[in-house]
Amino acid sequence: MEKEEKNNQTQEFKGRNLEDAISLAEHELDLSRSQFNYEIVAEKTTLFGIKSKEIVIRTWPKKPSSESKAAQFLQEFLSIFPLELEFTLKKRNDLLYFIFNGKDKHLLLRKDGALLLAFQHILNKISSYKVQTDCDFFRKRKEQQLKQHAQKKAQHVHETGKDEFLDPMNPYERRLVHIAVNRIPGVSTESIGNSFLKRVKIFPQTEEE
Amino acid sequence: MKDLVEMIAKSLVDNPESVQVSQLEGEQTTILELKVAPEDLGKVIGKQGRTARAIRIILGAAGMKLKRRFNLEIIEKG
Repeated sequence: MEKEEKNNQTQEFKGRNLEDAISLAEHELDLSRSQFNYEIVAEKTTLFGIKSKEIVIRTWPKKPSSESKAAQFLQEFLSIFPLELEFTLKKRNDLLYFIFNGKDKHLLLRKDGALLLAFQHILNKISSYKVQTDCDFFRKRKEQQLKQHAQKKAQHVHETGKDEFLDPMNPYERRLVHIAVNRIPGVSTESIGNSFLKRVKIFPQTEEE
Repeated sequence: MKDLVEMIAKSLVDNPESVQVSQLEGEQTTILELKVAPEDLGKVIGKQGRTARAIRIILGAAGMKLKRRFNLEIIEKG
């Protein structure tokens, strides 16, 4: 599929160096450089003048971006969904970040963000990029709470010398817990279980280890 | 609601043309029967039923707004 597009929509641009050629392509195609692929076709040092180089690149647009596949789906979906919701999409590296808004946004956050996370799950299935959904800084609040909770438990373990177990969590949450707890000296963490949701065990670290 | 389920299912499966949704109206409950090709069954159910659960949560939210209960049944197309 990529090949086909490549044939249909390639264009060539010349410049004195790579940077030059890409800038020209950006300008002519009216796309930012993250929106097209390019390859270097020719690079030659011309003989007129000293050090005058020429480079040719061939550009083609990226796949009718699977990033917009998820966005397009959500757009269409929300137009027939009874809840009044809208969203904005941000792209960070390889992550698509959907931020919801609208009159019914409070319904997204009920039951610990169940609906928000349901959308995240479905969008992740559709998109080839990793998708995160958010609304009203839900994610940030949740992460903050989780870290504080974990650190409080860790303090407790440190003081009493007894192991503590946290509630089952997904890999992302566990990662946050491991990082937060390991900042506290004298305790260590371990994931327990073998399903998708695992518990984190916080235990005192002995000197030898 | 039928369209909602159909839209989600079609975007998840490999054979969107064999996705079928039928709607059975009860007194308080609407049953939505989702039929997909056998090889796509796993796609709409997901690991440990996570995708099916996500679809049900979405239906539940819509139902809350519409004051109606929606039940999703996933059926293998014979």
